[in-house]
Amino acid sequence: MNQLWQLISADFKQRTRQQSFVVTLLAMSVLTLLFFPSPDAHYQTLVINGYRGIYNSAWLGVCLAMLNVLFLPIICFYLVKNALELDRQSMTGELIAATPISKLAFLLAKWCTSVLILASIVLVMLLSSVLIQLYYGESYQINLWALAWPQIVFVLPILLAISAIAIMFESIKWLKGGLGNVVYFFLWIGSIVQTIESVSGIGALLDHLEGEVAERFPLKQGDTNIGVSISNEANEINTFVWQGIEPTIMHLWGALPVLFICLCCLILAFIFFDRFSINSMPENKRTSWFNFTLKTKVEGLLDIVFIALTKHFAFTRLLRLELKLILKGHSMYWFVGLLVLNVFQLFISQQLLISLILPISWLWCVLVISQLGQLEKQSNTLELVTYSKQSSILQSLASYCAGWILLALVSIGSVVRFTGSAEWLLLVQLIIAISFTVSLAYFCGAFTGTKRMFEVLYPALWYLGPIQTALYVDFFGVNSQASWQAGIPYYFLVISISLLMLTINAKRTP
Amino acid sequence: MLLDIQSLSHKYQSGKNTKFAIKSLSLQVEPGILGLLGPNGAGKSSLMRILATITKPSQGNIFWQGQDIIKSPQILRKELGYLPQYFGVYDQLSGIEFLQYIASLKGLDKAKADHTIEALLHKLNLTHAANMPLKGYSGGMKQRIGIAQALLNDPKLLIIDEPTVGLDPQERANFRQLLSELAGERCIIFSTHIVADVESIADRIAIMHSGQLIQAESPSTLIHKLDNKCWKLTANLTELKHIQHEFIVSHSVRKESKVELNIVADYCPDARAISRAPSLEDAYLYFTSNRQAPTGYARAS
Repeated sequence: MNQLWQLISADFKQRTRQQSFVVTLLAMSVLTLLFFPSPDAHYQTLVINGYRGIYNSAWLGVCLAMLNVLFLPIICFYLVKNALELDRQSMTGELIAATPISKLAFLLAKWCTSVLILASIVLVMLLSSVLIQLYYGESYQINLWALAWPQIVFVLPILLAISAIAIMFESIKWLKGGLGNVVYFFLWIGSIVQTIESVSGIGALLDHLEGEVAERFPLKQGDTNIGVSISNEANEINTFVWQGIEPTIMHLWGALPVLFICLCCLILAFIFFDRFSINSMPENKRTSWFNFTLKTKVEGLLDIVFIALTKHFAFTRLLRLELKLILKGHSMYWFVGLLVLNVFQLFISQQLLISLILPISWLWCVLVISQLGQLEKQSNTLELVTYSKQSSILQSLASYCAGWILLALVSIGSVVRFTGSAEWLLLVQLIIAISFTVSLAYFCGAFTGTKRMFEVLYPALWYLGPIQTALYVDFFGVNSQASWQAGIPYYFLVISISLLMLTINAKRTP
Repeated sequence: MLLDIQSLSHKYQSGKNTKFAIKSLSLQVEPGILGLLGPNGAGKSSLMRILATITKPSQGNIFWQGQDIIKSPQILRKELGYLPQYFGVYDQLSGIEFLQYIASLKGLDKAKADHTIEALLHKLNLTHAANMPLKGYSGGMKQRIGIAQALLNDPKLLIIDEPTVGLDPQERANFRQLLSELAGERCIIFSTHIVADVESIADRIAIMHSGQLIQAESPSTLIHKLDNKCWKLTANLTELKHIQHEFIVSHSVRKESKVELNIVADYCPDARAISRAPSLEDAYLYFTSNRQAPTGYARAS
């Protein structure tokens, strides 16, 4: 037990003594603040039949739990999906592998640390909500138990599960990288929201609240909304005093499915964790015949063509090498996928092309262009590259153009279609969408030094924008007419240029 | 106490071909210091990782005190100290916190761990930096923290891969002294390609080349094998390239327009050459060199 505690303590110190952790705590405090809007704000969060409870401890506690149940699975997963990666990246993995610690004890320690980190985030949110209650002054009576119990009953099991899922993803070879980040995002979007509501027990509490409001205010006064609702008019919201409820055994039972998921994930992590074995190193990886033949023959042939095309100017030579750098190491099946997507783009209906196939084609490249801006840091060549480069602007532009060319390559089918049917506006939208995507990737990579930020942010924008056609985040403009009317392509063009300039400037400063 | 390596092979895939990192290696390690020498790519680090139970070999057996450690690696891990060639630290922790962390991984109880950590920090001259974050440590200090973590559990088998990289001459001398003190009843396997590091302290020297064990003898036996194979030749500078091409030149000193060369060859390389006493470096170069017998150069009769 003492051994486990020592492990947790050291791991916790290493993971929290980072500037990014303090920034995370601040960001979560701000998020808490935003989740409790003032009565005249343009948005509301938990509203039932046009009513919300006054900001007393009971209401804040339940609202905070709801916020956490909905959003922590997506935010916190990416925060703690570095428990094992930390040991791999810091090269302490080999030291750990040679010690007698059992796989189970090690994974348990890592899991407990992740839970502690997430619990400290929730604690900061809880303290923020106390300040929020005092700030709004709708009730000055602080009831710590009323604030805390929903977090213990509804949120803590979620934290246990998120930590376990993150460790499981890190233990499974094909889920530990960027693919895992994207897969988790879609799991969350696709099913986790519903799953959490139905399996965490908070659904039952919301039903209880709705029942109570219906009993007290039977007349229809407005909408019911759980989450965030935006209204253009600043309507004063009706409030009522809710004294809260006490947790029951039923609430605790409600957490059982989440705990079961947590246990299953821990078991899977235990099965798949390789204990930092070197057997999984690339030197032992078998290359398939298909991969090998295409890599040596086709790649060699293409490279000869590219060399001939680019050899005359310093910029184009650099561009070829930057492109090669981001494409190196990817499976040939990925390139085949790129080809297949282009073929689809040529033959499907235009509606399906712009609303589905083209966005999917860009998503296909997420894990490749997420390398932009951070390759030097990840491969530890920062010092070599910094003193070698003739012009940082030239190198930055070459990196940017490499990403741009890649996205253009995956969109060739669409370019041919739009040009053929003289859809010039769509072509301009396509160019802006590519520019924005690459600028965002480059910006995220350069400023965070990791791929994760882009791998999380882009699928979120991608889902809300081109797929769900939310006008203001649709960087492509699936509803072309509405998009141009609202001036969205102009905004995204300005954002793209701004992000690129910011990144180039950051790269210039050593 | 004995580490018994039997017909060990480890292969990996390189493109279409299967390559051997280690090929049919058999070796018995007795208490004392075994210096493992070999050029880069000889398979030293692969062997070290296999012995440290991090990599499973493709073939062969390894027994630690009669017990198979490929099947049951935990048996060895309890008595193992390992310092890999490339390793990292948790840079946000202080030296003392990091060692406490590794001590927990090794299953040491807190009181014993604290006592050992204090002693090791003192021995490795790190007491003054014990509470400093590791991110502020110099390369040599990090290397010494690495050595300290390997010694935490008072290991019966100590495996250290290129430990003197990054240490200054004084630290290297101290480290050799420390190893000599530690040797006693434990097995120490010390891999390096710097012959001077093992020359004075190793009880046995194993030389690896292209994944194979080519020699495993005491330093004096290895040196004796080169009797009448080491020569000193003072040649013109213009001849230097040709001699280097034809023979193993273990040392050269320029003296005005001439150059004084230490040559290793099965026969006298030149009429001007005189015989000299062999060194371990000569032996290492002789056994790891792939050179063929010279052609077209004047042989001394």
